[in-house]
Amino acid sequence: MRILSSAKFSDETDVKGLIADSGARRRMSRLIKMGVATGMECLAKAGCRLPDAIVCATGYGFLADSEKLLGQMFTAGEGMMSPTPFMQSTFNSIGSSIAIMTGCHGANMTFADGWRAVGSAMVFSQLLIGSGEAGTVLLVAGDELTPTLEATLGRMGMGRVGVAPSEGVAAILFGREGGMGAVENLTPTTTDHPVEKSDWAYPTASVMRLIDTIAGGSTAAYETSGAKCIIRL
Amino acid sequence: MANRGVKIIGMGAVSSIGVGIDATLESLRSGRSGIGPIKNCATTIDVPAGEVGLTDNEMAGLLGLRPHRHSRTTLLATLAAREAIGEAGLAPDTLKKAALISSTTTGGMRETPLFYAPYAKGEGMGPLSHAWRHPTANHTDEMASALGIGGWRTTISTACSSGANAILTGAMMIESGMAETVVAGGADALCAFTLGGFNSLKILSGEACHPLSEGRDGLNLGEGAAYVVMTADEGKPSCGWLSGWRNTNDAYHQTAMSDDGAGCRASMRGAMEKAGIGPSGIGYINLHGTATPNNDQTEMAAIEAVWGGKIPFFGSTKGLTGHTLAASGALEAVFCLLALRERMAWASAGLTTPMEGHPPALGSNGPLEAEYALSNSLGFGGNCTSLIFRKA
Repeated sequence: MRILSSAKFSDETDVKGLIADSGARRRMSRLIKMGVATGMECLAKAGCRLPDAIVCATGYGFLADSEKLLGQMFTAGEGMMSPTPFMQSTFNSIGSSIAIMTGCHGANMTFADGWRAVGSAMVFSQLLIGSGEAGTVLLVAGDELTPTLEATLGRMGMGRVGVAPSEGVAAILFGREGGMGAVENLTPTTTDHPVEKSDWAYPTASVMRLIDTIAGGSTAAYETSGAKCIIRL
Repeated sequence: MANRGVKIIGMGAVSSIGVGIDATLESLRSGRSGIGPIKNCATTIDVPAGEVGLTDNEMAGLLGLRPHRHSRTTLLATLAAREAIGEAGLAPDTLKKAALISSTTTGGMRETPLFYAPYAKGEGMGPLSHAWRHPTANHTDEMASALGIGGWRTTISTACSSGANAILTGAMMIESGMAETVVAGGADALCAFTLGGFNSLKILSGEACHPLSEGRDGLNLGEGAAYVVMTADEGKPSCGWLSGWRNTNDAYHQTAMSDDGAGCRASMRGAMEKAGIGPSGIGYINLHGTATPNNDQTEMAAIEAVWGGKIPFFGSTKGLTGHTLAASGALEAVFCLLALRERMAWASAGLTTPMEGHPPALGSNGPLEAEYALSNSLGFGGNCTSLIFRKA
């Protein structure tokens, strides 16, 4: 499959311009907003208004909303939980929000799989394009760092790895033709640990590495937990 | 041209209507519902649910695992997958290379409060073992380790269509040649978190649910797990074939379905196109049929748009099991395979007065002549998946 465009979320990302509907924007949680804006930016860069399919990856999903609900459970009981964070804590809510915004009726898959989420999403994107079911696939990966995750990973000894827990959102548009390069020989792999040290910080870091590999401008081998390939430029 | 599809050589199921395929089949034959008052799950929400009649320790005992070491989701998943692997007769070497594609919506959420309650009182508190088991990927890793499944593995979470999407992904892996053997399915334990969440959406019924009935007032939650084993190998498709599959999106609303069920229509049509058959080839439709007013209305509109006036036997089995979330698509895949094997379409459990203005769902088990059955799974975020199974 070919790489048509990519985007990383940053302070410069024009969230208001990319999610023009202010009502929809206001209702979105922080991670959903970042994911949708980054996905829309990636589509815009390739001049694609409507992808054929959307595939999302997240390590741990919407931790802030889940924690808000757990807080409500302990203070008021689960009979008093709020509907909005519950809906938004569903792992596929970035993919479905982009589907609603673009009108994308195609496949909409979400891998919530720790370190392996990004590799899984790449494998599934290849399955959609390889089988002919989709001509373009928007991959969006997102992870949020909460104080609880940071404290818990710290207690689990993450400091020993030498990286700090982090967060980030990134997107890549895959297609059948055109674009800036190709993903070749994509192979599912079995790994019990993150391939690179940076991936310990947050699973989406492996998409950042992929985007950096493309920006490097020369053909290179790429590997993440669950998948390896050649990025041919 | 009809496409036989991907061979299924093993299946396993655990739900409130039975631990194992034999017990499940007995309940389907007799129409015995597993829905009743909540006994094991700690919650203040007073509604009926479909609970599996085994404690965590009993499941750990059956599996030869140490007690208090796994989430309930992991235990349910491992129990169902072990049965599927056993029926498939996979050799340890095959299992070492087999892919595992599991799915869940809750992961370790049933036990997360055991970490979070002490944690909320001070950051250094809370047993890390429960935090470790919270992420969705944990159950996949632990079941792989317990069962010796050593190949590629992943975890899908697309709300209520998760289990169907795991099976769909497995079929695509086999078809593409990326995997030779795949164990795929889903699991979810009943927990206060999902009970509270569905309660906040005001879609839980206070009594045993009545899918596809006039005056239905919401769903019952359930718990369970189901897995199938798919293979590219030569040999008998002992359980049947997965002939067609399609995942689509309704692209309408986060939790409600469009009035005409555009996403569901597209998933059913896409799955038929993949199977190379038309609507008349299908003899039984197992609906998502949750018993919420919105789901059943929309799903029926989509079915009527596809089949017109000649709808085959159809019904929902949520009245037996409750809505088992990520497990439901996999569990209902097993129900479809059993329907084709037993030549029997399952009655729509909990049916009272059929929905006004629509053809009635199947009132009692009916003779199934056709070669194909279709299962729908519809989730939050407009996620729609249809799977078409063919008789062995």
